[in-house]
Amino acid sequence: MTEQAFFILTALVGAPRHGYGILGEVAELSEGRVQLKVGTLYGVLDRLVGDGLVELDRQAVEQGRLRRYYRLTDSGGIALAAEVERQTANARAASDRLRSWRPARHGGVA
Amino acid sequence: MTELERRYRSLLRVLPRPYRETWADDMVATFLQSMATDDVDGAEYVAEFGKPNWAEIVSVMALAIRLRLGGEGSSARYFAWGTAVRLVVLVGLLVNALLATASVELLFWDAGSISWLPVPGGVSPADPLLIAGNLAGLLWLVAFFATVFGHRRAAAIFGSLAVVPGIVAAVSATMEWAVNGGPGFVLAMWVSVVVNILLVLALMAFHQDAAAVSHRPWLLALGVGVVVNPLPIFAVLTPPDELLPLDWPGLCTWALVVVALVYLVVPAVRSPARSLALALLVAIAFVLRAVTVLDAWFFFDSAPTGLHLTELAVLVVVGVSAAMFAGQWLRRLPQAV
Repeated sequence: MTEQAFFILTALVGAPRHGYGILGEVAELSEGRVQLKVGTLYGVLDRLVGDGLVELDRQAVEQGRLRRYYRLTDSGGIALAAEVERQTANARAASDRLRSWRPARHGGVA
Repeated sequence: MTELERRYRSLLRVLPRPYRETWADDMVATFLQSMATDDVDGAEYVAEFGKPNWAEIVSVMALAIRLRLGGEGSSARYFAWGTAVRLVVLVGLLVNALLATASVELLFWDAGSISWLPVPGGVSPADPLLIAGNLAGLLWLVAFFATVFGHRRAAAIFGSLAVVPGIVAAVSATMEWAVNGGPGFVLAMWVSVVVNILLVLALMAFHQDAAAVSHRPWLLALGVGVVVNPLPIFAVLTPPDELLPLDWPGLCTWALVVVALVYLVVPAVRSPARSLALALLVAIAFVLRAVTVLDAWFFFDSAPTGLHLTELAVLVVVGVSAAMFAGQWLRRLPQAV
């Protein structure tokens, strides 16, 4: 799963959002590190919809424009949870290795 | 509709129509909201004079390339285009890699390291710049390996670096011609540079939806090419006279003719993507053949030979046939994304 897809799925957890809402939520979740452009967002969104991880929630007219809201599907939730588990395991492994490495670096046992 | 919306909708035209029908309105709404501002005067100014920035343009272009040069899950028509372009890129990288390895083999020959062959004719004495240029050509080999093994970023970096020696050589030849009036294949060098830049740009067809390249046939082709490719070049340059009146574009031409004949005779290898790839490769070979003939005519006062004209005619026949075949096939494939 790409980082962009990961953040888009995370942005949709708990509440359906429209395109601009997803852009803002992704920027906030990543603390400004991931700033999706519109073409990139819809490239990923199209793939997530195709894979059944995201679906259309509703359409609403706002400020004279038709706006689509997207929501996470059950499969999307499962895929995101699996990715979180994978990343958590990776982070834990790296963290454990770092903890055991620091003493050696500062004159401890190699 | 504001001018800003009109400009963004114009940009979205690069996307395939079925995709636009599904997503364009939503993309426009999101884009316009991303450009919104609370300041009334500022909003009016943006609506009238604002336009998508470069990052937005690049994101839409990248999406268009991914959709039009489709991978797994794309419609049959865009998948055929994607497969054809990826095939052309791999062949292009292979040809450049083989040319580079042959150039290095020629250096050895020229230095007398291949004792069983007579000293070559038609090869200028090696100078450090020539040697450096030939060795730099091996960057194509690295780009080829990177592409075959799915390292897209490395392929783009090494491909881009591999273009540089060609640009330096073309600039040098152009200046030499402009200052001293010395003859040189100036036009062919610049056209080769453009073709190689397009080749590197076309690496974008290897996006994340594209299937992994099957290693074995490409590595086998490289291995066979490294062994076989120098033979006609040695034959061309072996004194006392040229044993083969062929140059590199000529060799490529006849290699493509052999491929076309195989394609014609063996129905099992035919597909829309391969027809399209063959047409594209023949078009490139035609351009390279034509400019080398024009260069020889213009700079060396050497009129096209019967062989050159035959090669051009053969390329036209093969290219038009392959294009018609591919066109008929593609029209029958669904376009929907």
